[in-house]
Amino acid sequence: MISASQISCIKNGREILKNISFSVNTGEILGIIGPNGAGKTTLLGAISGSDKEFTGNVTYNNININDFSNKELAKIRSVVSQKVTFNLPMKPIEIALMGRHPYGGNNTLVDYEISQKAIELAECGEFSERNYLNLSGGEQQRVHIARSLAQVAFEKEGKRYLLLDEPTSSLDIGKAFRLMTILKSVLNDNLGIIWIVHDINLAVKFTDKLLLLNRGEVFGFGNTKDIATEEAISNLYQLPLKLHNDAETNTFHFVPK
Amino acid sequence: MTNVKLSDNSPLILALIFLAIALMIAFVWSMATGAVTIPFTEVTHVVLNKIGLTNYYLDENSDLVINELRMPRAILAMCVGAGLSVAGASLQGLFRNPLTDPALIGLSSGATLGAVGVIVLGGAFFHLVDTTLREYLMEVAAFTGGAISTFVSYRLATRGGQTSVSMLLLSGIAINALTGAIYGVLLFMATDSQLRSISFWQLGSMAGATWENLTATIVFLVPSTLALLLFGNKLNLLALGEKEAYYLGVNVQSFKKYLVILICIAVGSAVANSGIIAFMGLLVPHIIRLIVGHNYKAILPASLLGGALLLLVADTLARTIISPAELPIGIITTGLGGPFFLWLLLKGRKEEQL
Repeated sequence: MISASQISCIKNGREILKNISFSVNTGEILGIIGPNGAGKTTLLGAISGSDKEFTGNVTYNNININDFSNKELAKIRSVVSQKVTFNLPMKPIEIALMGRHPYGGNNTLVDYEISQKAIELAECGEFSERNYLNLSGGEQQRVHIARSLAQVAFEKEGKRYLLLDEPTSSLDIGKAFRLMTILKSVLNDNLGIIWIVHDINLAVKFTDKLLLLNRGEVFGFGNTKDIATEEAISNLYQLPLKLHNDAETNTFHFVPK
Repeated sequence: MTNVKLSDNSPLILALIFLAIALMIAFVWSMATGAVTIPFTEVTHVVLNKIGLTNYYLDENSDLVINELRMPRAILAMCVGAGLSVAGASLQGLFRNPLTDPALIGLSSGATLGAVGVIVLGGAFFHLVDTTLREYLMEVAAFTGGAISTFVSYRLATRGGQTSVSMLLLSGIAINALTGAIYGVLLFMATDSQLRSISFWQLGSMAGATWENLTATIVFLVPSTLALLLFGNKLNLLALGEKEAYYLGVNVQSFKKYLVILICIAVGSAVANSGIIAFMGLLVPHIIRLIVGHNYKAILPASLLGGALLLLVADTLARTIISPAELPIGIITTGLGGPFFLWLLLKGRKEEQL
């Protein structure tokens, strides 16, 4: 379980996060949604350990995040950033292999097998031997997802977590659905996912839990079914929304009134 | 799966073997060529005797020429070439930009200032210090000067964990100008004999090599260069950005600190021994990239051999082309490096990678 309690963060005199508490278990996808500037990425920085400027506690599997060495932490959580600038003409398979660095970085046979699996899973197979720099934005994004999967998704023991900062932002609707279906399929008793998401309809479809964030404060937290109500989401985005239930596909989606 | 691994490493191994053989040939050639030409068999005898494998009878003259003049000089050239190239490649990894060179960001000029400072002011302050200690003093001063200028340009160019390349080059220009001014003051204060040794720094030369001052090289330059070879993996991760490297378990701050210190020791020591040899740090890693690709695990060891080879050849040419006079080695490396740098800029502009 990742558990965050009373996370507050002040930067340049501005309070970006106020008293945020939530938790996520393995086997679950937690979606973090909220309007632009709500503090989603800052919160992910605090949870992932890259941003130390906060007060409050973050624990992984009941151990305080500060008690992990960088390498130990890298074995139990991986992060997919919004944008990665990487300008070496390497092959996607080599980049996926970088995800194995916390396990020694010796590129053992096991590392190759796991990276290859991650590449296949993230649907990078058809371009795994091509030059990364010649790939499209969406393809490059998937290479980094493969790298993160290689980092945490294939270990046999221990509870691990995948933190995603809007991984679907540069993907078309088909690719976004494919990706989330894939991530849902790797989810198991030893893997949990935190996912910052902009598209409320994707969030309703794929998350188990939702954390609504507004101006640095928790606006709602709980099971997606209970939290994603017409009233709450309309208030969150300051836009009157209607919740539709498509009987044929049994899918919920929000439409502006 | 095994095939993937083999095909990944074999170009590197081939390149390393090729470079190592070329280096050995160049070494023997360098021993044989010069004002006095010594036959190859004689050269191999001297070298084998030196290592302690054989005990051939040697011609006294060729023994003297090789042992006292050519061999320390060739070893110095190889060490300096390897050190500058590996430091250059590491610096390019650190700044995440392939156009970085120790000279461009002010590292070399800072180191030169340190070394020249010892030449000019050393007499006044350290007249009791004997010559061997003065060698070490110059290394330390060159390291300090290089470290300070690197630190300043890095801080100026880095904001929020991202290093801006244009800021880096601009701060490099500013630092080069500033050190140039102090350098001018030192020149003004220098005596005639000091001016002669200073002019030695400006274009770089291996002529000062003796077995005695090679010890300072072996203490500083060789260990720092070899230590840099260990960082290939982490330099690859750093190419993803500092945050991503952290997510993958790298302790980025301490890694950067060690990297900068080792680079400054290597470049400072190279400068203290042989002056500014421009473009080595740029030229060699780029040629190496064309051969072994862009993986730092391959670039670093190949740059080590490639740099040693290039500078050994350049130095041998420098002392033979217009023999008995000597061409400053800096002319050869800048003559090669300048046009190459222009070509890189044009190529980069085409690919819009800059």
